[in-house]
Amino acid sequence: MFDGPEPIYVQIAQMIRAQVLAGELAEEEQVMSTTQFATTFRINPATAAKAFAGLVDEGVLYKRRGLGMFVAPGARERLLDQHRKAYFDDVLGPALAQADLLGIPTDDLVAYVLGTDRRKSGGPTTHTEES
Amino acid sequence: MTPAPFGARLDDVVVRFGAQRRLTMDGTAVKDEAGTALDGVTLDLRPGVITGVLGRNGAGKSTLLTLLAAFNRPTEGRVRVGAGDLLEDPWENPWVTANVQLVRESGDLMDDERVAETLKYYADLRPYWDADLAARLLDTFEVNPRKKPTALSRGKRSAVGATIGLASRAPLTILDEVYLGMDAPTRYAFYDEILADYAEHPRTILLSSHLVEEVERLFEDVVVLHRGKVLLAEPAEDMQSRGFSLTGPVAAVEELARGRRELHRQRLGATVQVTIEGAPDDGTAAAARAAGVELGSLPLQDLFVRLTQPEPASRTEVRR
Amino acid sequence: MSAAVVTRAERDAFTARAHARAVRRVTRSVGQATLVIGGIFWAIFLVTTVGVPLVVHQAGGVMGGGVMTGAEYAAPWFALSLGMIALASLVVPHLAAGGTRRSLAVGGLVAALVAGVAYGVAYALMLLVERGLFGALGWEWEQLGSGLDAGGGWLAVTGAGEAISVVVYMLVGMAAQAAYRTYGVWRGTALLLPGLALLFLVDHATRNGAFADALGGLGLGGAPAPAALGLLQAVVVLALAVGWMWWQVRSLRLRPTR
Repeated sequence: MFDGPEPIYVQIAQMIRAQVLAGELAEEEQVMSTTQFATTFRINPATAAKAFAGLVDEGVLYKRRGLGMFVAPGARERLLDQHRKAYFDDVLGPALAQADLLGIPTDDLVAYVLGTDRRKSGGPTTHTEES
Repeated sequence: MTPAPFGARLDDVVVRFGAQRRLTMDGTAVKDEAGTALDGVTLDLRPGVITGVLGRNGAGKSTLLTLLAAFNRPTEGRVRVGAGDLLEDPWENPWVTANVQLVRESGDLMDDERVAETLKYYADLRPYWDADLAARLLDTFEVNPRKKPTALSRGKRSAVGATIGLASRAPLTILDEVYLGMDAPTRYAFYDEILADYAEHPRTILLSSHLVEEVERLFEDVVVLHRGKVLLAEPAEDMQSRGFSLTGPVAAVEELARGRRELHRQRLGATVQVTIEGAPDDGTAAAARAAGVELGSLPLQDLFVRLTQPEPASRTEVRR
Repeated sequence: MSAAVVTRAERDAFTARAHARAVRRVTRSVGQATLVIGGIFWAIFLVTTVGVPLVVHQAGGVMGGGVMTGAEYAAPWFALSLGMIALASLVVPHLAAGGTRRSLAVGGLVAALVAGVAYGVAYALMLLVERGLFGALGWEWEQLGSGLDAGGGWLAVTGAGEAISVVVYMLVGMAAQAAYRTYGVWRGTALLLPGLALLFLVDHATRNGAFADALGGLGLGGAPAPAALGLLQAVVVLALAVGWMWWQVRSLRLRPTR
């Protein structure tokens, strides 16, 4: 657990964001307290607290006094939004640049996207790729 | 009544011991050599934080910790312990000594009395003693308080020490290699108890250990001592970011590690783990992923070993 | 006191309470040992003091001197060992539990004084018991005890002398233990000498005890001195013994256990 090179509080925050995105943590659901985090993963409570503080700033979690940390309403949407924006900048953009480099025509790309949609919705596959 | 956690400050502290012959606990005669245990230590220990005190045997860890509890005085320099404005010399000063609990491996128990009697002594002197916690911990560690220390194994004696350390709720609690002699399950139970109690009753905790891997995540701050001097004193996070590890097939790892300063290398068949100094950039992360190499955290143990290695120039010839 | 700023006044109050708690605990620990084990010691003496003459009488014999002859040696040396043992077992847990050397010394001193009074009284009572018993058996009883010239007040003087001796011996035992702990075997042994000198001096002052007899044997024994002077000298030696114990306990150093 938390074996990555980033500081542990960063890894904890990543884990919680992933859980919210995947729906494992629902809105208004309570997150483990810093104490529980500390004793479960055998880490310093301050590390968990730092992760939580960051997530509160991001709007992923909020604190209910006397009760603990809860997933903020709309957190999943916000995270999805961030990831969506990032997808275009970090994933699709470079992929399209790469396609350009390889000389793949835009039509093929469009057809692929449409084909993918069809495959997803269970329709017949369209053979549009040229070998 | 929750007391404010205690911090400490040391300025140019030197501790020298003269040679001495004495009897150890087992009744054997021992000669302690004269020497300098601490050679100019300047250090700030943050209150309310779990600080790891690391160092090889003989680095001066125990000596440093005994100064904070007024078991000893420095030969030179100043030690100040306390909270807020009230940072004072520990020597013969109940403001410090009654608020500082040092636990050593032996547990510092009364040899000829039952454990329960020793605990009663602590209960009488310690202002924040929690008897319920003490009873529960003895239970958790499976120690019979009606036994005398001589009838307990080394691990159980240490467990009593650990119990005292936690139950005294001292604003500065120092655990000096208390886990020695404890088996792994007991140690982990011990770490869990420390964390749980620390979270509920904040205090300053100093943990001295050379089992670095097990305890590194418990620390917020880290101090590394070497040959009586402070080698490093910084937040654990900063120490963590001093390096990273690459684990994977030998060729791929070599490629990624080329040109970078290596801290440690470990081989397991076709896999190798190399610890690299510095931070990984984005390129490294992507390249690692592509090559099937795992990018991981810096094992503090490796950094620690590397930092406390003798310099090549002074290393003596290896006898063949 | 919440985790907020601590005032000077709070700090002083805390310190005073901590010191008082520690002194009380040391006094209780050492006191218990001296009174409980001392109780057994004196019980044994009582049984022997009464029992032996009865047995002898039963067998038709007469005792020239009572059991209490030479008993004046026993109690102080017993107190010396108690002082050593009590301190040995307490030093490390006391400091580890946050007590100071000062509270250890104060508590030890109070316990030693209590022991002195208790043993002095016990000794005087024993002498009375023995005298009464010998009288009842029709034997002659030689008034033993100190070589101090006290006339009719001999019992009180002997008891007081014994009491002071017990305290001095006990303090010397504590000091010796502390010195061994701090300095190790060689210097610790060397530091026995000032302690032995104190034992010698108190025996000489009270004209009683092992060293006084040794001097007497060498022909160097002091002439019977007036009680007041002897006791005064003994009190001075007591003050020196307190200082000696204080010094050694306050200098205590615990070396790392590894």
